[in-house]
Amino acid sequence: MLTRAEFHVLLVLLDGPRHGYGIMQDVKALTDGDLRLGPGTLYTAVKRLLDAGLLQECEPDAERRRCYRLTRKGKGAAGEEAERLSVTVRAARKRGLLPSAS
Amino acid sequence: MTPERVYRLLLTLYPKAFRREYGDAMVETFQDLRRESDLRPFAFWLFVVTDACVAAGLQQTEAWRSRPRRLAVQWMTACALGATMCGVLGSAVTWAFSYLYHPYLEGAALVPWTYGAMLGTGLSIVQSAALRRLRLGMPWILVSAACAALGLEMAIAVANLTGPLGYGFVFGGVVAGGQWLVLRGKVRGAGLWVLPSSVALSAVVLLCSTTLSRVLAGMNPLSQDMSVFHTVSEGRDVALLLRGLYAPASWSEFTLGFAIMAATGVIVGAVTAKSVSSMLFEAR
Repeated sequence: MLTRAEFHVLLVLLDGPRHGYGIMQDVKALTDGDLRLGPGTLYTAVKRLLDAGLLQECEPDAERRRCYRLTRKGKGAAGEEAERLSVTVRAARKRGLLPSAS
Repeated sequence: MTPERVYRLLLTLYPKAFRREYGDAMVETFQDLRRESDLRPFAFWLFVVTDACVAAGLQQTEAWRSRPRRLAVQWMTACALGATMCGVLGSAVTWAFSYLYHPYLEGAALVPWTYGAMLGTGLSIVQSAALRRLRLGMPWILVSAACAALGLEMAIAVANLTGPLGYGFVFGGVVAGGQWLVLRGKVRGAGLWVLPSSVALSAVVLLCSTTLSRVLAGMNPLSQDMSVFHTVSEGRDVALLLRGLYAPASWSEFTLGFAIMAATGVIVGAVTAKSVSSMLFEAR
């Protein structure tokens, strides 16, 4: 199972390769500032995702920064995690923990 | 001190391998974050330090769980268990001996090599379980038991000439050498085993024959009468090395006996852990 930070790293990389700080900025924007990743949390997540084969390193950008992109396996894992979370949200809605979608 | 230096200092909390791989990238990311952060300085540093401490803690835990260290801990535990098992076996023999006591048996005692065989058997059974990947099996156990038995007899003979130092080296060398004969057919670099193993066993013997004899003498007046040990063997060190094999006179002595056996195993395990780890990774 992915951690919250790992899942969000995968989500932002769906749009294409990013370097470390780019990922941090996009995660912050995607969650409206609710999730701020520090360098430590970010690279811990990156390492685990690389080890699991969900990410791969791409050619350094113009400023010679290390870049990461999603693998096919990573895209699949992000989809599965999203599905798992949506089931959880549906269950929470059924129990009245969240307002219904309609 | 510049903020970058402070952050580099925080990076020392991470395991070396992680720092080497991601350290520079993390510093770059930190610099970008600091330049563009909308947080006040105190909140910014609180965020950065908390993030570094939590992430470093996770990485250290992960590094601890990684193979070589986990293997070292497993190995030391196995050696401690093996030596303690030997103590249990010895205590059972001693108990059976006293239970079946008959006046005809007055003055009779087990000869030293039987104690050596027990030590070798106990230790090697658990060692072969820990090294199951190498499939050492019965040859390892038999050779260890035989060499420990032979080593003890030879060591006693040498001890009469050289004292405990020679005793330790002979006992350790014979056992480690015998185990090497089995290992060399299974792994590359089996020679790495001989030196650490013989040093470990020698250290155990030396420790037992100096520190422990004083402890025991202080704890139990009976042990000051060394004639008790001389009925078992000519070598006093043998009795002390295998202290756990004697029927304890009190609970504290009972506990000490097993603590000594476990400590014996931990010493053997600690000294040989590195060579075992190398051997397993080099296994054919």
